[in-house]
Amino acid sequence: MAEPVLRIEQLSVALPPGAERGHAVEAVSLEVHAGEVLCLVGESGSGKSVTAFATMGLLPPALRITAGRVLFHGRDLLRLPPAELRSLRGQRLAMIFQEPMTALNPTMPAGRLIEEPLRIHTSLGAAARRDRVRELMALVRLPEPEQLSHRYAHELSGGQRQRVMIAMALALEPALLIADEPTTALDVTTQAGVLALIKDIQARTGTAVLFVTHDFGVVAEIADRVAVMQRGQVVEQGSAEAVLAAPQHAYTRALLAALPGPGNRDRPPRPAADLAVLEVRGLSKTYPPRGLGLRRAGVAAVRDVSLSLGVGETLAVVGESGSGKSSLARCIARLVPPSGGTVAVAGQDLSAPDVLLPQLVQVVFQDPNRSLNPRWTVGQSMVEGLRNLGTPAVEARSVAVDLLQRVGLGAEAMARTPHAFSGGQRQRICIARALTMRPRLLIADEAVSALDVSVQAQVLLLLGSMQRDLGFSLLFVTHDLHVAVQVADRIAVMHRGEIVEQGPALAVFRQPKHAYTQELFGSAPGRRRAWWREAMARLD
Amino acid sequence: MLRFAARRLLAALPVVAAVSVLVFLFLRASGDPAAELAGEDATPERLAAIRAALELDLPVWQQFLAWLGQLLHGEFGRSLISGDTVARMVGERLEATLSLALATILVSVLLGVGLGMLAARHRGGWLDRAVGLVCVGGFSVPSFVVGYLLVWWFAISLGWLPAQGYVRIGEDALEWSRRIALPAVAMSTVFLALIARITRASLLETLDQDYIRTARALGATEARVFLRVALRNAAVPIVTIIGVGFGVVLTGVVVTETVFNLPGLGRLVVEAVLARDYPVIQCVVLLFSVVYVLLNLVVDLAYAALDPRIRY
Repeated sequence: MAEPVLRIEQLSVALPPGAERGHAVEAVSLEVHAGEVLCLVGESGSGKSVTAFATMGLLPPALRITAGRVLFHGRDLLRLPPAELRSLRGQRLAMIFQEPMTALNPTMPAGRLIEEPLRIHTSLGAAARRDRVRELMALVRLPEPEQLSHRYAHELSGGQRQRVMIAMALALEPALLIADEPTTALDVTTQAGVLALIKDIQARTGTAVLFVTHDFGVVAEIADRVAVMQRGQVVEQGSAEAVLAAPQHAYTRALLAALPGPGNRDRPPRPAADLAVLEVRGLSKTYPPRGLGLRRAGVAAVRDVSLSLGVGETLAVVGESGSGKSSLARCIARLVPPSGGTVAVAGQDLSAPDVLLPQLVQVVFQDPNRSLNPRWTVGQSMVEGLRNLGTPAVEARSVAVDLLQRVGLGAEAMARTPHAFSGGQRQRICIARALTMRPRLLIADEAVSALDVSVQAQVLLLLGSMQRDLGFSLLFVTHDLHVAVQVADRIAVMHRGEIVEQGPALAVFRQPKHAYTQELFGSAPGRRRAWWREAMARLD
Repeated sequence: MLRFAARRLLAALPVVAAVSVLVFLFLRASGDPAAELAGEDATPERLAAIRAALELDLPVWQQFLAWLGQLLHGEFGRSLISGDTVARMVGERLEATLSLALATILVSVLLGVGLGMLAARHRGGWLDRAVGLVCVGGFSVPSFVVGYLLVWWFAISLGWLPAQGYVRIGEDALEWSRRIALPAVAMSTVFLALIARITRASLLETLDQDYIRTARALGATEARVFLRVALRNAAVPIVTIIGVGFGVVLTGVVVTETVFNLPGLGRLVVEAVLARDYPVIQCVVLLFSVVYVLLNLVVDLAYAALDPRIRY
């Protein structure tokens, strides 16, 4: 076999003293060949991104490389003088990042951003640079280069931003492209386009790609080979099909089994609920136009949505970003006032002035790190709602402790602050806090989207068992079809502010009727690989 | 952008109007210029005669309307004390104050941004700590103390620069710069420290952003990362503080003008207030409020120029 483009040998990266383990990455060895996509897959904290950043020489100063070699065409990048490494970066080695919104300089327009590597590494004149920028924009399929090149990052769509990022990385035709979760922040249909683009460019240019991801569907879609990382070590490595369709290591198997989907459903079929807890009629929300004076139409985020939800029932609202699903949830919880229509919970109109909203509707949000006051103890956060309603302190405390125990945390959690807990534990706390109010309706707004797949599986299980115990109805807002089909009795698909399809979860999942739903489902990564479809079907 | 500027200027008119009304009323409630003019042993008849001559015996609203009428004709009236036109008095003093304020801003911005960049570049190192120390000094030593120290050292001990006084820039530009140097440096200490601290903080925050990592991943040199990417993105808070500081400097000229014996607006205002010279005070206050309004507008426009995410 030819010399690999990248060979990582026994790489170890130490974590700062006091961390939960000694090494972020321990004795990792990998090879990436020309024309090949190697996926590094693992949960957060597995060391996959650290490996990528160590290769680029972009580790934060707190992380120290303690052993190993990173050979790029046979030259050890770790022992290269800084100036030489710099001349390789952006030229022979390129990287694209997870969140293109924050990774792109907000004060440079797109054309100028793509031009940046040309300015840094070449002596091309302005006209030649401009021509190359046009070429690159065509290569990454950015439309209307003339106009787009003058737009700033915040004026581009998520997919366009990532295409700009890719164009910057490819400007000088690197031999190795490192991609750190490049599609994680994108919608599933946008993701499909970006993945196809990377794959296509790679096939044409023969660039070696090291692709970091946590998403097995993405691995199935794009990888030639895959390396699975756990706690800083590579536990399994092989061809994508071998690892994903016939995993050998117990950890790989556990991760695949934890993937959300119909196979993990824990909901018996139920008769249509007779008693509606939530009744939404003709709800719409139009946001006023931004800026002063100018007469512009507002943005219609939700248009004439009607739905109902029975006792103990779960309805998943599925849609991409901008579909209006979060606006719908916010209107129902009256976090924002609706522009029209009515919302009733347990027969009470929520717009009535005397309605006790907190005891009817509670919300769990996406990011538990920002939903809990970092300066309060968990106990303070847990009792706040009840105390506001005048519940005596002793009673509020006992309710809080009871719920913390139900979500799998002990009474000792009361005295600690949120930063002492992991992301999954914080989300459990948020769920427990919402349930202290004994709401009739719980709204989960992307409540598991920020969690690792194994943690996500636990939180989903927990939500189901809490629902059986306490009998609340659940409105589950998510962008993830597989999560939706796992947790919900019924699924409603939102597109451009409207519900385009609604029905029993398995029926919508297996036989989507609306064209948009079909497109959405067809964009799920990995579907074009027969062995992945079969592996997923086996899990189902 | 032009629409925004025009709208902001229109919106500022009521502010300026309110300031002038308030100043007019407060002044008339605060004391009697006729008493100052007439001296301590003036007879009531003499006082009344002076009041009548200066039209101070009219009802306040009539006085206000008269003043407003003058303003609309572009006149600011005459000093009650010297009889000179206010426009001439203020015009004579404007150059010294503006020279001092602009020179102060120039010194503060150049040194402040420079020191802040130095501190951010060497975060945690001895240079960072040294700049921090200079800033603490700048904050805590009053400008008149710095002023006297500078005079003692540069003017008296070394004899390099004149201790006091002012020469118009039109007469002798070199001498003008020699006269303005010490007061500008004395006045800039607080402002400089403020700008240096803000520059450092804003740069450090910017250097933590993802796009800095992107620039490094593209192979940019540290100098390029620092000057081309970070500084531009760190600019908005720095510009804010420069705008605020300009206003503070304008009001702070009084002390420095006194220390260095500069014939500026600061001293004019002090003299006018002590003598209750209404028209002079009114004119200067009006002038300052217009300057503040314009200053805020310039800062807002600078935001939009620096950060494409800010649009009006």
